[in-house]
Amino acid sequence: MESSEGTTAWINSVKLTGLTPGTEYYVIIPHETNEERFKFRTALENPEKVVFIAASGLHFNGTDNKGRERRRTVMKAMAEENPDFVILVGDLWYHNNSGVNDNDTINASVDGFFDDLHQALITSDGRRIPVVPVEGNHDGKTSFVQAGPTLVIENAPFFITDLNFPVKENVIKKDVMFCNMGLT
Amino acid sequence: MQYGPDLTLIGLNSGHSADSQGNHTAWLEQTLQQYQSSEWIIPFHHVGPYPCYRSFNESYETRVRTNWVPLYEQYGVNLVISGHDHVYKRTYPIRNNQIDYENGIVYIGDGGSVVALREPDLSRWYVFEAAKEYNFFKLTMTQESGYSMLYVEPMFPLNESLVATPFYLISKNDMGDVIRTEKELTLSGLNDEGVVFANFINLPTKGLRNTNITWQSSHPDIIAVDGTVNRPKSGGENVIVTLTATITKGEASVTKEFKVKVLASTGPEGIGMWVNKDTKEVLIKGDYEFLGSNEIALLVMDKEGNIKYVHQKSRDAFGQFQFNFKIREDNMGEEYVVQIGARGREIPYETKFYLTTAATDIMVDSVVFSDALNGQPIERLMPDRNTYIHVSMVNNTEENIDALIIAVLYDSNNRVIKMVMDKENVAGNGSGNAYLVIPPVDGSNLEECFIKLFVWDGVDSMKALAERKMYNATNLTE
Repeated sequence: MESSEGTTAWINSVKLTGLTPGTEYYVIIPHETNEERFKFRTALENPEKVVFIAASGLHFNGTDNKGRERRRTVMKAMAEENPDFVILVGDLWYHNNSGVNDNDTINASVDGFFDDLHQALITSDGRRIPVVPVEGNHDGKTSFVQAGPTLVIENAPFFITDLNFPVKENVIKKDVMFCNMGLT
Repeated sequence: MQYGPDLTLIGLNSGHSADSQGNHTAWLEQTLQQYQSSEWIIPFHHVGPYPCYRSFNESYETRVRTNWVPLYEQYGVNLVISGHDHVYKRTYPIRNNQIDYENGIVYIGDGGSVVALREPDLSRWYVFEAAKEYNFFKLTMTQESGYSMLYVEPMFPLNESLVATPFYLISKNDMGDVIRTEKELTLSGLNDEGVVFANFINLPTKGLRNTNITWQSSHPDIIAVDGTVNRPKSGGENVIVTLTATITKGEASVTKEFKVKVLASTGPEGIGMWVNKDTKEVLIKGDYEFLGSNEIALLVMDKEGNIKYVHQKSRDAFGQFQFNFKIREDNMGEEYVVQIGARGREIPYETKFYLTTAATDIMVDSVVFSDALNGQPIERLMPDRNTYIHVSMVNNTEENIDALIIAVLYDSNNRVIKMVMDKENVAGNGSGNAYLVIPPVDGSNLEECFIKLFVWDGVDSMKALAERKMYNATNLTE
C-alpha cells in the first residue's frame, strides 16, 4: 500500500494482482467506529457487451454548493446506468482557475472531486465503478505547456499523484485503469 | 486501454502536461498500429479538433486536428470523444475536413458534464447537433451477428425532458476482423503433432463477422480444398500438406498456413483376430486408419451368406476399434467370413477373415477309436473302460513340427468332462502317430456327449495346425 499527501486528504492505493476476469470482489475497510463495504468487478476477457460512460468538465468555481450538488447528481445518474467503467475526458477539478488559485481552494477542489466520486459514483448494489481519466487544461498548474517533447509531470501534481497516474519521465503508459476506491 | 479484444480506448494529453506533438503523436501512431485487430479504437482527449464554442483555429485544437486526425483517418477510427467547450455536441461524420457519410469519423463532446455551460455555435459546417445542457454520453458496444455495434446515447441528467438523437455506428474495421479471424483460426481433428486421423477436415469458409476464407492445398489429391482427406495407399510415403487460408473482408486480406501430416494407410494387416474355440468368443481389433473412415462396420457370415453378426462403431479417441462377439451355434467347424469395412466405402476398404483357421500344416489322415492299444475299433464310447484313440498325421511342410494332439469330451451342455493330450514330433514331409486314452467316465450320460480333436502347436498359442474334428460319443464316425 502506498500513500500520498498531495492534498489535505490521504490517498491510499493498493495494487491487486492475480484477479479472475469477470468476477466481483468484495472489499471491507474497517474504521474505528464502523466498517465500509463495497465491491468491484473485473473486466471480462471477451465481453459481448460493454457499457461505458464518457464525461468531461466535472469542475466548478470555488466552493459553489450548486456545482457540488450538480456533480453528485450527474455522478449518481452515471452510476444508475450501471456502466463497466467511466472515462473522464479532462477537467476533473480547478487547479489553475484565475483568482482562486490558492492552496486552500485547490485542496477543496481536488478533495471535493474525490469525495463526490466516492459517495456518488457507486451502483445501488454497492459496486464501485472504475474511472479512466485524461488530463484537461484545468487539472494542472497551467492550462497548456509550450511545444516540447518532454512530459512535464510537475505541471499536474494532483492529477498524477492523487490518481496514482502511472507515468514516468518521458514515458506515458498505454494501459491506465483506476478502480476508484475513492478513499479520501 | 483494452477492454476485451474488440474495444480499445486511447487516452491522450492534448497539450496540458505533455505536448500533443512529437513523441506523443509518434506514440499514438504506434498504438493505433498495435491495436488494429480491435474492432473499435476510440481516442479520447480533452481538447477536440472540431470545437463548437472556441474558435476552429485555436492553436491546440489546430494541433490536434493536424497531428492526430490524419492518423485517426488512416487507422480506422470511428469515434473520438473530447471536452473543453462546456456544451453537448455531436458532429456529422468527417473525413478530410469535410462531411463524409460513408467513411467519416464522428466527434462527440464537448464537456459540460458539471461545469458552467456555454452557448454552442450551431452554424459550423460540422455540427450535427449541439445544446447548452449538462450532459454525458452512454456508449454500449455489442457483438451482433456479423458485425459489432456501438450505440451512443447523449444523456441529460438535469433536464430529463430533453432528448437528443442517439445514434449507432457499425464497425467498419475489416482489417480488424481479418486479423482476429486469422488469430482464432485453427484446424480441428489433428493431434498434437499435426497428424490428421479423420477422413475429413473442416475447412471453414466463414470467419469472424462474415470474413471470407478460401483454401489452397499443396497436395489437393491428399487433402482437397473441401476438406476431404485421401490417405496415401498402404506402403506409400506419409505426406505433409500445406493448407493456406486466405482471409478477406472488403479490401483487407491476410493468409495463414497450416502444416498437416497425413499418414499412409496402414492396410488391413493392422487387424488382429483372436478366437477362443472353447468359449466360441471372437475378438477382432485394430487401427481405424486403414479404412480412412471414422465409422467401421463388422459383418460375419457363414459359407451360405447367412449373417451371423453385424455391428457398427465409431472411432474412439485412440483411433482403435474392437469387436467382441460370440458364435452361438456349435458349428465352429464351419467357415466364417468376416468383413470389415467403412460405411459407404467400396470393396477396397474391406477385408476378410475366416473363423476357422484353415490350417493345413498337418493333415489328420485317420482317427481310430478302440477298446485297447491297437485293439478292435469301437463305434461308441464305453463309459466304464478306457477309450483308445489312434491319430495318424501327415506333415505337409518341409519343417519338423512339434504337434500337440488334444481330445476333449464334452457333455450335452458343452461342458468339458475329460481332456487328454499327447505330443508328437512329425518329421517334415513325413507322417506321425499319436495315441490318446480317455479314461472311464462312470455315471455320465453319453447320449448327447461329443469328442473334439484338435492339433495345435501348443497349449498357450493354440495355433491350429490341422482342421478340428468332432465325433458323437455314441457314434464315433466322423
